[in-house]
Amino acid sequence: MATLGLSLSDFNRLVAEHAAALYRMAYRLSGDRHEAEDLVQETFRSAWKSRRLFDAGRGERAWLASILRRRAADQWRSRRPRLVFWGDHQPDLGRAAQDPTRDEYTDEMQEGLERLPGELRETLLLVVVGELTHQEAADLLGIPLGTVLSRVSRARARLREYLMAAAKR
Amino acid sequence: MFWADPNPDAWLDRRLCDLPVPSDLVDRLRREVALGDEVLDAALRDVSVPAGLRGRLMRITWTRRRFGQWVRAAAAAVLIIASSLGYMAAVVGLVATALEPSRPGSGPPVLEVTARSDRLDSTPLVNMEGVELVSQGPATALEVDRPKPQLSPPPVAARGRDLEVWELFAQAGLGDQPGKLDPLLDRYLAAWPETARASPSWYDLPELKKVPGLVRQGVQLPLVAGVDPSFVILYRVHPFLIPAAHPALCISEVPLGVDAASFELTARFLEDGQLPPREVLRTEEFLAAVDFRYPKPNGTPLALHAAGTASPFRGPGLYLLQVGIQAREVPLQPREPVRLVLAVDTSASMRWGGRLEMVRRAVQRLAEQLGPEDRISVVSFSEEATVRAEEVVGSDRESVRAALESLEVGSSTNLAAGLREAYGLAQRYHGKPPGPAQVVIFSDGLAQFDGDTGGALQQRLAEAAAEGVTLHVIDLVQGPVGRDRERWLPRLCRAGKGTVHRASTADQVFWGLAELLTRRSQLVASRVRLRVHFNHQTVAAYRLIGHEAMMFAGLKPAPLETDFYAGQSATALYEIVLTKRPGGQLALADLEWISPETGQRTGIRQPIHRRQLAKRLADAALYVQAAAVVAEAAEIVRETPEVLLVSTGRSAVRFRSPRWSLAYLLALARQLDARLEQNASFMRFLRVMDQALSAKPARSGSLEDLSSPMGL
Repeated sequence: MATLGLSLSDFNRLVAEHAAALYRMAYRLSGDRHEAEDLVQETFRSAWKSRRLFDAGRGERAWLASILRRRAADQWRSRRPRLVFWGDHQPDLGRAAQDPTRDEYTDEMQEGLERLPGELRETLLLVVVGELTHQEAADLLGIPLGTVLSRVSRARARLREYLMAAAKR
Repeated sequence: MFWADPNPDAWLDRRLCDLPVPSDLVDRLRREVALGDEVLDAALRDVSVPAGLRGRLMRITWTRRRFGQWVRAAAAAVLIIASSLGYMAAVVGLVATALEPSRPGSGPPVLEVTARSDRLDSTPLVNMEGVELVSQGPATALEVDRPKPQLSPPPVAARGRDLEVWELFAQAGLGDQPGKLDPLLDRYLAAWPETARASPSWYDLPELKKVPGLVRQGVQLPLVAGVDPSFVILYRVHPFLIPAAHPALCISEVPLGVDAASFELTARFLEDGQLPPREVLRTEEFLAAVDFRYPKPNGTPLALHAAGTASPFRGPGLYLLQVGIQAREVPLQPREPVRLVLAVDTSASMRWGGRLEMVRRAVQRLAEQLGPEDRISVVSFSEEATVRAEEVVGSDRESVRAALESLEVGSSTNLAAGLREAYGLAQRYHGKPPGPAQVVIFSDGLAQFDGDTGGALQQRLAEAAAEGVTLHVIDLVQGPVGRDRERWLPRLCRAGKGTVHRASTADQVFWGLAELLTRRSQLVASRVRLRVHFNHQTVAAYRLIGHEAMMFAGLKPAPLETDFYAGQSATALYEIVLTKRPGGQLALADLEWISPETGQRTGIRQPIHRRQLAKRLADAALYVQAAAVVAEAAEIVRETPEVLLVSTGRSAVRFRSPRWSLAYLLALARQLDARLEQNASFMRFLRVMDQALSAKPARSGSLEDLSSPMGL
């Protein structure tokens, strides 16, 4: 019989085994490495807070992914505009105003993902980046297994189409 | 035609196959294969995970598990006590205000404060222009008040609890006709009618947030009628105070013992391309980070300087007034040559609070005072000890600098290893000039030994002390002192015949070292206190910049008295609105201290005149130009709103004008007096703020990280 509750050693194991995958998923969801770190941190913080609800018999990754999904939604809702330092009379200080890490992290893949409809993107990321089984993704999203399969397939096809078009440019 | 072809079938076949093939078909098909599901999936997962993420995640449980329950219980208890005290204080204040008799013809607040001045036998020691130095006998006679400031009583109409502030303004000469609102003040409303907003009621207060704990910061606003204490909590800036509205509002006292902690924190965050949480930023600490180079005292321990300018940021009618205090330098020469062995703790915790950087800056400053006869060695220790510089000639500053630059943060604190290595060096050169070594440990770590190791160490230190090698500790702890620390460090120092010097700023570290070097105290003045008495006839309103008591509504405000060491300075900055009434004296600045040599209380009283305010920033004193930029930059980074004075005498806020964004401000700063470029601390400030331009906003939850036991 599965035991309820998360011990400290369980938690550390969860971090070791799932943090990387969750970070990747968070990054692919948000497109920003800082937000991704925050998301993962908030996810594990929430996991530790609700450790009594942890069911060792069920999918750990799916549990964490469901928390991540909620935190991402919270963050999206509460997102406030970034601090504006540049005013109406912007002096030319010879300084690039854009994020210097943009080229490194905002790749074509991310642009392609952003062009996907939300439900396709989310399903694809849960299955491919979050490495959930199709059934786990179906349970998490509350949709039939067949829908998950078709969404993943359609998402891959559209993403492939975008990347090939981008490669021709 | 096929009938003309000898082989009609072959012709048909050729025609069937004769179809142009798209030129990119092959490439496309290859890419299709290359972009198969596996390749696509691998590309999706190809996101590098930041180093240290797992460690940070694992700390979540560490802090929660050990401290969560304690913190929650303590916070609940403190909140209950704070609420009770706050209510009691408010009730007492209201009752006191209500019971205060309306005395016909009673004088202005300053007169009440100095009512017994005629009994004071004060003897002027120095009479310079506008500066009066008075001696008031021993500190025990301090209850006797100051000489009477020459301020005339307020108008009759301006007294009583039913005071209408607009009437007060009109009587003070600010409005052209009694009862009519002043055009100067109305400009604020006219310019931003949609954003200017009167002070809110208590019902608009935001939800209480989790805070790190009781911190002695800021000044508490007087709990008198006309002052809205919720303003500071809501907007994190002080409102304007009207000196004529209540006696208590004529006097402003400013805490002088401010360090640059939040600026150093900002500098460190910005090195990682990120802004720190705005809740931890404090304007007065940004001001403390810059040496404004006030003129040195001339024959007195402290000098008081005041100057101002028309504010370049808030439009006409508003002035910046700066009051600066500068302590005299204590000469480090002549002195005996020394041999110093500096052992620097480089454990992980030295990274926090800028401690390692503090040591670097202080030792570099010390190295500038060393001569060719001095010798200096540097040892670092974390899990093990390393010699970074051995027996370097004091005048070889480059070697000292290189040794300090080579210090890198490690993991644990092995104090025993550090002591062993440092004393090994001391022993190696024992008997050679310039004499026995003074070993100095810079550490914030707990000295944890078992009984045998501790006993053996004490014995070795005592043996070395008998040969003249002494041990001193610069204790860099910035929080509560633990029991282990209390037990071991003094014991080790006692055994090593040395001293423990606690320091939380680079200046304090340097003063500790300077005392070792010269064997003379660097204390210049103790229990220094600044009071600014505003003249209600010439100053319609004033607002202290910085020093907000944010934590639990100022339940534990900063101490108003502080000690001043050699070369130390302090700054108070106000925004003021002047009345149109003629009269030059705006305020009286009172600086008092106790002389460490005589134990007597001494002071400087200096009037501040209207002529000390420049008409524009570029014409102001250099220190005013620098302080104006620093304070405005701090407020922008803190994301605080601008405070406006509206016709009712209340304060309102509006979002900071983008025109005065940080980029614009920094561009302006570089167009100010060229002599500011020679001020290294000011230029460093500008460089740090440059980094803020491209920095990312603070991460959510980072305030919590800072408040954890592993943080600051």
